[in-house]
Amino acid sequence: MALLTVEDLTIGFRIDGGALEIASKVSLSLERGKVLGVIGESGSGKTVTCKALLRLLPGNAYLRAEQIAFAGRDLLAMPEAEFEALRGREMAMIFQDPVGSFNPVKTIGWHFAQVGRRAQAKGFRKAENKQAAIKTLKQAGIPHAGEVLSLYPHQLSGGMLQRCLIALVLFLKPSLIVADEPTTNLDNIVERQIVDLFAQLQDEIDAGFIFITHDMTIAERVCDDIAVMYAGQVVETAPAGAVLSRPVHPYSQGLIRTARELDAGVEALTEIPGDLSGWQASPHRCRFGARCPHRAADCDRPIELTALENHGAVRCVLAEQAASVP
Amino acid sequence: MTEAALEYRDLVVSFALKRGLAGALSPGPRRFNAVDRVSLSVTKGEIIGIVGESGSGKTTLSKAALGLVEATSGEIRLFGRPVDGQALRRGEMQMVFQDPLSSLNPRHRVRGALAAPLRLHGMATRQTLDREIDRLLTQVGLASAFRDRFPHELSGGQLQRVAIARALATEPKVLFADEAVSKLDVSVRAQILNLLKRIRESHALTIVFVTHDLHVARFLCDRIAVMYFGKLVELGTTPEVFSSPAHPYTRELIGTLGQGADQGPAEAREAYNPSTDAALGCRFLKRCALARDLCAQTHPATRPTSPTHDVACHLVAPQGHADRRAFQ
Repeated sequence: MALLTVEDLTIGFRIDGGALEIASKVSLSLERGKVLGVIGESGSGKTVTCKALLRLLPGNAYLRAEQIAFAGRDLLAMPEAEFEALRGREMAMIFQDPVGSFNPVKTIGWHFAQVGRRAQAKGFRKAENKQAAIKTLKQAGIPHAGEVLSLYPHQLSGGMLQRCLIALVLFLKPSLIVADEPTTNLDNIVERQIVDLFAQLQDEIDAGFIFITHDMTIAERVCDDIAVMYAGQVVETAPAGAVLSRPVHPYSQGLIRTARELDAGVEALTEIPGDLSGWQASPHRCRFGARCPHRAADCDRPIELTALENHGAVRCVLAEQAASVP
Repeated sequence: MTEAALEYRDLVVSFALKRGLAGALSPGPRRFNAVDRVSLSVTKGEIIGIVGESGSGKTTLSKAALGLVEATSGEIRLFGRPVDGQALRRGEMQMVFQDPLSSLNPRHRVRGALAAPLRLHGMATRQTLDREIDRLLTQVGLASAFRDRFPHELSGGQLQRVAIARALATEPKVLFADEAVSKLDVSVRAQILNLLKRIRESHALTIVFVTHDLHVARFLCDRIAVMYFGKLVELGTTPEVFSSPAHPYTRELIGTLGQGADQGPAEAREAYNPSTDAALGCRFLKRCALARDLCAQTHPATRPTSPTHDVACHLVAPQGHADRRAFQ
């Protein structure tokens, strides 16, 4: 049974008496021990979707869904108090900016004590907790873990702090971990290390990961399945290998082509013309249409996410045709 | 001989680590060289990539040229003339920053953002202003309708285009782009990278492109300069640096240096610490898997390995000595 099932999740914000839809009928499914990559540009709704799962959206947000089920429990109907106990114990999120995730006037050790208390409400022992914390930090690739516990966040570099944050989340042993662009603020070497760390941890802990990124090369290393989002919709979802080697949706094709071209030494990159803005004005036709090189008259209607044999599901009228091209 | 557009000669930029009486009395160095004796000549018309991790001094290097930080010693020359206040006021050098939203005034329309430099530098009169603004917008691929938009109404890519248009307003000869695409999405990034290549041709620009993203540097740049904690450690043409990286740090960046079993992940090994390690030899010493006794004594001088490839490492034999077995 899937760890997490999301069916037709629609999210919007109430702004100035109107409503702004951010994500439309998003469906996701995640197994334990798997990594689901959610790929898309800023404004595509990937972060909002994941925050909605953890009920981290501000008060003016609204959401509708057919179903959100987590480990057999219905998250839609769950009362706030019950959910509060779930989040931060069973579900955790790793944010882009590690500095903002730590209390700047408390040591790393204090954070581990907090998490430890929460995780094992009864039978919490400080010394045991510390030993366990050191073990987890080592697992996350921090060498002098004992010393790091007595340091303050500002005394650590960005990469070290991101490792600490990952360790902190692992320490909790949640079954669902959402990582929102955890490497975007880090430089090349550190980025690669963190990505390697994720790839390694994925085997060691028994949890489902959602990995949000806009970087194809990272998705390639970490993810088992990929959902490409565009303008609030999932436009393509399939096993990572399938999406990366033969993307079907024109938007996924564009993203992957750019990533490949950067390394191939071309003279000019193939651009996806235009940008994401403006789709809300006409949400009931292909939202990528304005930027699509293959646009046809048939695209001016709502396009459904349709299953594609030997691939996954694609939201494009030309999917069958595109997939049959070798 | 190709003409040098921008030349750094032995540039040092140092920042205070400790101040006041307490600083004077406590042990350890009082200043840290964010840029430490860097000599670099940027050829006219090239795109040079300055690559390094955060804290390597790559941004300080461009800020020093623009007079945004003061050089402690050394010299910066623009087309053979020392860069002084007057040269800076002529607008011959411009910078495009990482975050376009914070580099544009949120209460000014695009028109205002572009009009200010045009008027200040006498590039347009009241009569020609609108025409000049349209011309700038066209150059960066924006329709003239964008004149009346506010920054918050634009997407990241459009904003970065406006920032580039504004930088072009003074008809600069050298453009600094500090992580100009790292906040942009992949699809938009391609547009801006192509744009930078185009305006280099159309404006006969020299571009100093500061980045930590090697993929981007490889696509855009003619030459790559690798910095590590204030030192220029490697400089070469892009194909050379990628096909035969010489410095262990560059090899680590590019990922060709095999991660040996005795060598933990780089972050786990200690990085250079300016307040305690100033006396150490090579700045890369603590992270280098190949370090020898010699490396702890002095920081290596920059030596050529080919006419277009320089490296600062004790283990790399200079040009003519084919012995590069140190790595194998």
